[in-house]
Amino acid sequence: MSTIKVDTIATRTGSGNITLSNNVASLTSAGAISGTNLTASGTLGVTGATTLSSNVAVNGGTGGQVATNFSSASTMGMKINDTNSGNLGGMLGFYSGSGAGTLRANIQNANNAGVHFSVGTGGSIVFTQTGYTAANALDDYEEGTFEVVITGTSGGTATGNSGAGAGASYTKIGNTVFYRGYFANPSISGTLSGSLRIALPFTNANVDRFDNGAGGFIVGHREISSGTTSNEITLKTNRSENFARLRRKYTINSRLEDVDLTQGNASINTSTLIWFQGIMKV
Amino acid sequence: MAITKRTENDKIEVVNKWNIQVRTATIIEEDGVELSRSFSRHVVVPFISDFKKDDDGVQVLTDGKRTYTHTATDISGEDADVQAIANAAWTDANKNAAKASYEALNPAE
Repeated sequence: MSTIKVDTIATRTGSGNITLSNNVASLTSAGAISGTNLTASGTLGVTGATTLSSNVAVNGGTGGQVATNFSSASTMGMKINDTNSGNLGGMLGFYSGSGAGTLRANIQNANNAGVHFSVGTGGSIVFTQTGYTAANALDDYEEGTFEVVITGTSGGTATGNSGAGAGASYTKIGNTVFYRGYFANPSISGTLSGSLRIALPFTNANVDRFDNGAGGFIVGHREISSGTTSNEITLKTNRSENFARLRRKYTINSRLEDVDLTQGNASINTSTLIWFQGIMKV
Repeated sequence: MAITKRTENDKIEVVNKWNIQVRTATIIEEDGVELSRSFSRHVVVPFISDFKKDDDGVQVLTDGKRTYTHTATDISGEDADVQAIANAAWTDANKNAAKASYEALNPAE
């Protein structure tokens, strides 16, 4: 094979394209091809490392696919390194819709300590399946608080005194809500009477009869009575209800049953303390 | 650098056509950029429903049936956006359905 050494290849007129009618078999030196644009209508194959110092667009940036194969446990298929933005830097965004699309989900830098994976409204994380199935999708998680208010069905409300530490919190995981609270030294509006109910942050489900089984416990109390039969007070929420009924044990026809606790027996006053927790389905 | 705190009802849901679930977000911002958001919830229903009981809390039956009461909820203390949705959702038909639902789900025992 003979070698031709030249500094410049150009068309005779000094403009237009250079046509190579066969492959270029080897470019051996660093920076072998340089210029502004490289256009290939077929396949561009690169076997060595590739450094791209600006944006990469596939199909003009509005579509297309990028696939990465690798076969080593000691490396990774894709590395995204947020070198500057720190907290809440957008590491990977998921869009849909025409044009630039609308952001639907996002992976953000969590203050250089982890990542936030935000699935957006209607999104979910699915376990044990490689495709979406509703039964295995965790589509909601939320933490919050609610005010501790006991209402009498015949009148009056007792609102826990936040200055005395009263308050309640909930954690919603999927369709299940866990709640716990502290009712302390309430201010009582009106005359508290009738059956007693603690307001809840959600409405209980009304899908199956066993949704009547929502409820919880009074784990501690002071200055509240359950009447003469038993000191045990429980919480019960029926289907489609947004409150927990205070319940007490009561003997009816020699059978121990539970009935709604009324203010006539409970005698809630401004010194009453109640610690409670429960579970409901929404 | 201005730190501000504000609240907004960022989610108002109508469940079962008449239960209004309200999520209130407390938002902390610095120069208009959100730093944190925490939630508080409550539910607004058209009635406080119950049935007649004796002093011990045991149901009182008349001809084998419970006597139900449905006391309308005062929503004058709710935020305007909650009132608007409640007033839209609580049509006469839906309020009657709420009463009927409570009575159906709480039959004489």
